Amino acid sequence: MAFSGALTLTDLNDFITPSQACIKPVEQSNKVDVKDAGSAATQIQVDSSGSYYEVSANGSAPAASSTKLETAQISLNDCLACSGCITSAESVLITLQSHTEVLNVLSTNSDPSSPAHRVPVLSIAPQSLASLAASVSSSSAQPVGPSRILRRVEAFCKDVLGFSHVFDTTFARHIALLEHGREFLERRAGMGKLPMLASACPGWICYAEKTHPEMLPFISATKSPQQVMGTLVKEWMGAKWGRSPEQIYHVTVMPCYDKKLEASRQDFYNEAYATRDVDCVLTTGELELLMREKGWDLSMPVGGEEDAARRGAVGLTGSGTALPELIAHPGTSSGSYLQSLVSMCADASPGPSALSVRAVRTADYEEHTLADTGAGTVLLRGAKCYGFRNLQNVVRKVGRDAGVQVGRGAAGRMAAVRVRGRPRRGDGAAAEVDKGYDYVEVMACPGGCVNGGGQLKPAVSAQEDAEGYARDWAENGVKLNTDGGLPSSDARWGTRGWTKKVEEAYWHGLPTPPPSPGPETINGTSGNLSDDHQKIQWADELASRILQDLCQPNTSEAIRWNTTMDDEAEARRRRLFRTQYRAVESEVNGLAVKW
Amino acid sequence: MDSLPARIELITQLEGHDDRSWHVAWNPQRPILASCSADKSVRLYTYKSLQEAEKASLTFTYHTTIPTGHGKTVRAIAWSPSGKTLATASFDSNIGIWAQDEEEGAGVDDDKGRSTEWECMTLLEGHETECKSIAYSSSGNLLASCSRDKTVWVWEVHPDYDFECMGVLMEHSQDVKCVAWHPHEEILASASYDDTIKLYVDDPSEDWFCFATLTGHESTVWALAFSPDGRYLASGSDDKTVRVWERVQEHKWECVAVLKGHERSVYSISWGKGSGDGLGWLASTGGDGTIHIWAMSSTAAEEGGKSTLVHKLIARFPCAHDVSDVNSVVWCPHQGLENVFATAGDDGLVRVWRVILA
Repeated sequence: MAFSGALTLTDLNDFITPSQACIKPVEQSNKVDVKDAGSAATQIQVDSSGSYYEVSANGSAPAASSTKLETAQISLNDCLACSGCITSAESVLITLQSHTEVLNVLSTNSDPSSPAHRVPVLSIAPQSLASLAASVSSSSAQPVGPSRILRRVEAFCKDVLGFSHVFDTTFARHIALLEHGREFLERRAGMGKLPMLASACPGWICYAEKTHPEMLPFISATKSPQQVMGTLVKEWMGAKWGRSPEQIYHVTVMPCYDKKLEASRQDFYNEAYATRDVDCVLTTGELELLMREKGWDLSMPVGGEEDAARRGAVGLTGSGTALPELIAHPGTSSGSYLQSLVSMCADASPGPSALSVRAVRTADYEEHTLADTGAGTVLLRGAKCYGFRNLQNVVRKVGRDAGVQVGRGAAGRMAAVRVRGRPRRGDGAAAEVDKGYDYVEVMACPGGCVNGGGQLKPAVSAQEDAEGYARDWAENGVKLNTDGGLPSSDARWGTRGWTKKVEEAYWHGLPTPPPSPGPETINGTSGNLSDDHQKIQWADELASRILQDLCQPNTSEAIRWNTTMDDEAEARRRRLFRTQYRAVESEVNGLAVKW
Repeated sequence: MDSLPARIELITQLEGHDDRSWHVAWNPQRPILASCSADKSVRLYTYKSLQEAEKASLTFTYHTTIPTGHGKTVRAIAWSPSGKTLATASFDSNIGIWAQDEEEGAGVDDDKGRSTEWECMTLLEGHETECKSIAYSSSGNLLASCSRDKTVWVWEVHPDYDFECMGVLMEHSQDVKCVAWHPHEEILASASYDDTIKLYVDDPSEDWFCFATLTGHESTVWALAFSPDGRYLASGSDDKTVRVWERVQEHKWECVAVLKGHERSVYSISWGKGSGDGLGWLASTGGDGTIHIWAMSSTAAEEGGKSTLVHKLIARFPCAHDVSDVNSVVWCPHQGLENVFATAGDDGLVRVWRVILA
């Protein structure tokens, strides 16, 4: 079985692990010949090369009468359609999205002059850049920031691999945040359910579709940054370049294996052109492996990387496809979804407002409350909730507050248990305080995306137990990262200190995380922030232009992202920037399961 | 016949389950014995102890049945330390939390066993597949459960039958059969089809985590029981043995004894106070239908050395549920009844026994 080379079982540090072995039955595609009853007996033989042959059972059939059988293959779509395992993509056969696949496509690509040529484009997530930056910085005297890493990755991808374009995904995220804010306002106005739950984490989406379909109406329908990037590259840039979607080969680099599953969703498949918005997803680790295999040293500077760091702030350039780079969205390193809504609500508030943040036990579960300081009314009640454990509590809380029944019949459960429940104590004012959330930024990984399953692992010196004995943990099937055998606080993730370093690299020199850009900080002295402010202005303008280009509203006036266009243009906006979710029915056959 | 220093005597037999009975649990505060079964019900019995001359007699009275409504077998039950709440772990993957309405019934049954209805106050969902075992911590603040989905969950008990998930521990590579809490510290143990035992503690600033993996059993570990003083952990296995692990350091446990004698899988063990000065009595039972009672003690610490655990088989009872497997054995926790235990078998029966020293 061909796992991507960067991946071995002991690497797995994801938090939604398969609950059972894959039991997806293999489809029988061989044509069955019509035969006389009773003469159908055949046997399967394996030859020396490991191939399987079906041969007639009654006798010394010569080789000519045997039929070579197809090798069983399980595609990502089989996995998405099955709830046999609560898919951590890692445990699945990901043969379609590996770094060798990328090399194959690039090496077999036609000449650029040929119509069959596919323009290779690579888009890398800022969390992946942060992981690479932290890794390079850990072994060098000078810390290296994500902007330089982006230049080096770009040089590698263009010069060594032959990519035509390299982008980071922060501009796509900017659009996702704009659309996400718009969707939130729609829901607040009564078109949809609250609380709205973030949808950028594919691990969470997979889990919700398979285990908590009652949560689906709450989940934001806005596409993730990866899929917005897919739309930008294949639809908007493609049109600029005079290329149709299938003439572009789009690779993304993500901190997360589950992004591979996201990219293979049917919703992101363009039937007309038989192509996906994102053709292949590599993890940070797979990109690093690719660089190592090609002998590329990421710690070596490339020419002009310092000047280029400012390139993101140079302003609109005609009708080109240049994007503002590395836009810093203040908030979290997992996409700043909650903070973007907090800022939006604060801006919309006529009076001054104040944000209070309360950590519930750990930094992975925080409640953010934005209140009007004059009137004392609450403008937004949100939470950030990372990790599988906190996710459980959010599902329970949202289900309880919204009065929906949590859970359903995966194992024939639910049945007839009648929960008596109790009215929640407190009335009047107390009930007001206990009101539910408006928004929850949900991520499946503890620490969020900087700690994604596809990120680089810290260099581990030696595996020793508390007494200094080297022990072969792996032999017992023990995950190295999660069980050092030591009851010290760093034992579990083993990588918590490392995640902190990646988080620091993500914010590259800004405070971690930087303060939200109130009026006083925007005009502050930090050159970084004012650059960012320019970048965001550029991003806003470009986003509006893209909306105009792609949705073609029936108006001569300039539009902004929050402009409501004519119905046809709005329908295009929905198709381009929103998606949908569906419950996955359990196909688990209890008898097929190993007990 | 072996001449053992004690014998096991049947006190009573409690009938009523329509299918195999899986587990029994003694209410820690009130004289109630609960049993659960593949028939999806929980049966409650009250009991009275009458002091007649030298010999105490115990009489059991059927109290009530909780039909539960679980979609499948109720595999395990656990009382909270307060005795007011009962948790049910079911093969339908859910956990039910049951209590009586305090306003109506003043929270207690009187001695006559006047009944107020047991109602499901909360359903805890989260396990993907069959829930196999459930246990309250000694303080009653935490509830642990495990499942065939290979996970162990830790829940924090909040007022008004509210629960918060504190941890989802995905350490085992196979079906998790049993969870058990240390008798006075917040240390959780789990046993699995992957032949290992794992121990967990909380990191107050973060999450629960596994700090030790105990290996040695050669097959599935079915059952766990801490010694009453918390220094030892016993484990029963499909390899027909019971192993005893000693806490040699704060976070380090080592196997110090292997108890042999069962002819088939050991499905259940229980470590009670017993009679005498030792470390208590360990009861074991399983697929061979035999009950073994071991007296556990330790030698005085040798000079410059440490004490050694000593185990001695003091009683044995074959065919405790006739030809059926015995699924569960549990000592009565009440003072004066330290020699009493209950068993549940595939024959659907619950039997109550006492150990009598010769």
